[in-house]
Amino acid sequence: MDNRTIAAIDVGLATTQAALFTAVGLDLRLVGVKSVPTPRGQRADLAQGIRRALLDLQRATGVALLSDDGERALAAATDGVGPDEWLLTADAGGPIRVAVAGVIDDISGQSALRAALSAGAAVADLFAINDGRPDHHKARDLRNNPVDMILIAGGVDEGLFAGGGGRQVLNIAQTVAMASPRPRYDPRGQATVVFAGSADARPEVSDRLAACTNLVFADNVRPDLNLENLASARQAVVDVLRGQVMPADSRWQGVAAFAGRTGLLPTGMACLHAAELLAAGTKQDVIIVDIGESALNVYSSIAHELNRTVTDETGLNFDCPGALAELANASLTWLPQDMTIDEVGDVLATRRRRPASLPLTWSELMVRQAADRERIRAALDGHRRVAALLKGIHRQRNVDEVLGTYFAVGGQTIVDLVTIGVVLATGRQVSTATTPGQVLGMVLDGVQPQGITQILSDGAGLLPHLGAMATVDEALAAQIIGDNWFDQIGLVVAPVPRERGGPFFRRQGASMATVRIERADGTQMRETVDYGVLKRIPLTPGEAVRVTVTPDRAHNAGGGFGVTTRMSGGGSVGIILDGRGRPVIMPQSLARRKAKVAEWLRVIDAYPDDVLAITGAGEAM
Amino acid sequence: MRGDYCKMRTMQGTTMRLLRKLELGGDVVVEPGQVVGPTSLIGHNRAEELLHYLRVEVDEDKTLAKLLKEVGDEVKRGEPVAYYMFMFGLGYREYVSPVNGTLVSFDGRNGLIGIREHRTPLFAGIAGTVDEVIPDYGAVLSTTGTLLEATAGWGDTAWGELAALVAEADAAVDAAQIGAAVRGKVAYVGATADAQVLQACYRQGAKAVIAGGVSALAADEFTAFAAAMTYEEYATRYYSGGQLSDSLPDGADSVPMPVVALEGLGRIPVRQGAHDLLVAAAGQEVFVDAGGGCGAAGCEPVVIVPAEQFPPSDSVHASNADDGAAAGLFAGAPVRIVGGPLNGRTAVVRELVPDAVLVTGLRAPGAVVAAWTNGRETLATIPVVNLELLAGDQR
Repeated sequence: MDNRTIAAIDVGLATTQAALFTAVGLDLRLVGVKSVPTPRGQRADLAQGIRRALLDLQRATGVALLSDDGERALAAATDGVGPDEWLLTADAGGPIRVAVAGVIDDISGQSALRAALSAGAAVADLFAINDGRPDHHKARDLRNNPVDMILIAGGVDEGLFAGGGGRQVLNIAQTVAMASPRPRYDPRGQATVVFAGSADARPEVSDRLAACTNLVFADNVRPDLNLENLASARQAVVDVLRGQVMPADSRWQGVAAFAGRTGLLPTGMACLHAAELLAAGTKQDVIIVDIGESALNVYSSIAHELNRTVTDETGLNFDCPGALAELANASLTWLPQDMTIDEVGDVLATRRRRPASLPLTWSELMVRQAADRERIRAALDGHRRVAALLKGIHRQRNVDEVLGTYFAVGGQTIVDLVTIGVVLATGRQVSTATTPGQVLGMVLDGVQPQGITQILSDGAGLLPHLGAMATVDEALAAQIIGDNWFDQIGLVVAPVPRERGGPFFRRQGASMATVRIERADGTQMRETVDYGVLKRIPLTPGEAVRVTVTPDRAHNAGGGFGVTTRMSGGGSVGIILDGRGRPVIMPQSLARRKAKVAEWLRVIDAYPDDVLAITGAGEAM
Repeated sequence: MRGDYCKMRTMQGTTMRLLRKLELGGDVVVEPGQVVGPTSLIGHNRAEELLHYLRVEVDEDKTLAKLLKEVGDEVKRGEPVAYYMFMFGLGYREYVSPVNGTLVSFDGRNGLIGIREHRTPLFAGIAGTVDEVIPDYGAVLSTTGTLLEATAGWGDTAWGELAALVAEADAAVDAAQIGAAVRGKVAYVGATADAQVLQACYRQGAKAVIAGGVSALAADEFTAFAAAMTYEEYATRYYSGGQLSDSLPDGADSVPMPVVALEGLGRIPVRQGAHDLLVAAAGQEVFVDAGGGCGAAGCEPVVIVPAEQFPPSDSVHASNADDGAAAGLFAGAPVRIVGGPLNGRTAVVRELVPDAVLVTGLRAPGAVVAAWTNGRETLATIPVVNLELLAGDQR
């Protein structure tokens, strides 16, 4: 049986993490993991952050990782000592910051957006012929919000381009030429443009852009209106990152030396691989929420279709006036203590400005986690829009449509929370949560899972490493899923009512569903899910139970209205019976709302009772 | 112990390079080696690309709308250009110019009115020398002076005479005390700038505001308010008689006022070294760059006092030598605290703690720091990631 050592590094916006694994066959063990703040700013040396993390890891584990001068990664193959495999993922605020463009924002624009996001990029802007901005305003925005790369899509490969409609993509190319875009950190250079539009348009696009940009061609993302082909554009984005963006950007000097044979992989792409593995391993549709300090990624694997979206506060909504106030206001909903919107805003703005900083008081921790609930909710809304059926499909209307009993024109979301079996929470906000109840609370109130859902947590932040590992040894990565490397924190049972006849029409405390819980020792217990009530059934650590939910005719627990549904699972917090409605219904009165939020936080054991007992925010907390 | 998050510098007598960037591609009119002043023109964008079209009512190749302007006329943003009256006068529709510009074309058959936006001039904003010209993009200027790095900024750039409204680092100015003395100047308002102070400065025509701490929501709200305000609306609302003419660059159709928070968000005293420099620089021309919202490109908010009267300090050189690299914390290092009850306070590291336990139960490498609050020393254990190493002349 071969014995291998694998070093995995992830360079994030706020922290750089290094982890060391040993593998004997398919038996993988985590030897150690260390994190340090990622150097920030225009002159930052990202390799220095990697070296610091590795040095800390080397000290903690005693395994030689760096050369004597601390500058070079050791590899077993060449140095005789050191890890056998090096894996490197990076995100650092989106190593690739991309502006995407399409002829119609909902059609080619969305396809370009999906290609960029699935390549792990942060999308700074989406412009299209129909976005309402004059051309020179688009050009000005492109210039004022510098990006590493521009991805253009539009036009199909046959017919339309020649016919004239698809020629609009040339206007987009003209707008890009007008901006004369420069790389983010090098005003003297030329920005890279990936053209993934109509193949027929290439010569004319080249005429417009070849002189003022580094122009790269990829296969059309919409070769036909009925077809989306992202693979080539996605690979082009990654190739441009490795071949052009990183070598030209002084921040990335020396980073490639820590990448193994797979080269650097964008973190978003690695996590998407991991989502696929998790879905395959659990045989469930999966949603992963990566709650970072200033970016929130949502990955989904639903019916074998992978999607990623990122709500990036250094991207589309960076410094957008009003966004902070909106977030602060919404966060107040989830706070049990008295705070003014200005106090909440300052805490959130401080985190945005200094994303690596930690909450120093209970009050700050609660504000951050309340805001994360709202960030997750907003990010999931965005994910629903991107994870959707293709728009623009030409289709024959059938009899049902004509009669109005069936309606489908594309663009409908494929995200249906009732069908989601697993939600995994990861990211630095999960790592800095001090109890499993806090993580569960963020997922429970942010995602608001429906039906029966197993909630997992990746407290150690291993997800990017897992995704990267899949690129070198998929069997090994799959084994991690089988070995339950992620912490089970709770099994949520939340029957959903029909759109009409929801909790408004039921009496508080009335039963929505009965739940039978079968423990491993054969004992059984019965409970009910009641309107407006959140209950917790504690489990012993590591205990897995079988849950059978029988909803009444007005509710769906995953199998259909009134249909009994079963699932096995568990978690450190226990089984959560959530009858609060979807979306969660809050009392209108401020005092009652605060009391209710405090009660829910007590149920899931998120914060110590004495903390929740203190009313009024401030230094006392 | 390593792991400082970033450094906030106060650098005296140092030479800085500053990129001044055109909004769009255009002509750069300066040359390398040229000496420039704050109002020197660096360049302007091309005009031919700045076209806006208004589509008015047509019927069978005939325009139904009445034009109020002719080709060649100047138009202001929001000014009616044409109107259409229908249903015997019961219905009325007005077409207004979206920008300040010139009406350049009218296509009666299709009902299209073309308005060319005025070119936007780019001024140096600071006294210095042109180091490099980047064609079609902008110019790099070099200047000698004092650099104050800030924590947060809202808006773009501004320059003007510095008006110090406070004498103490922890003092704050009352909005009612802000008068015409700040018109056309960069106002240094002390420990805090809340919504009232920002509005008062704006109303009095200040070019920029510098404060120790700024309320994040107030600044966001103010930025949105100022961005939507046209020059004409502003002049009508706050002034009469065109008193604004000397406080805005030519060609601007909005009234920006950048806001810079030197220390953080909320009410925070200005670090003493920075305060002393700002008070000493009162009456001089300063340059304020609030970062322009392009933090993703590494633009950090800064204040530059382009004068050589402040001698270089030894610590400046130490800071420069370490530029870009992560410096280590050490006992005696001056730091700023991020978050918690001591948010924004300047402190001194007393001792490094490899495994500090926070009140929330979180464990992280930390440091015991001593901060002065209300005249007495307060000791606190703070995670290293919540400390900003202050480099340069700090006291």
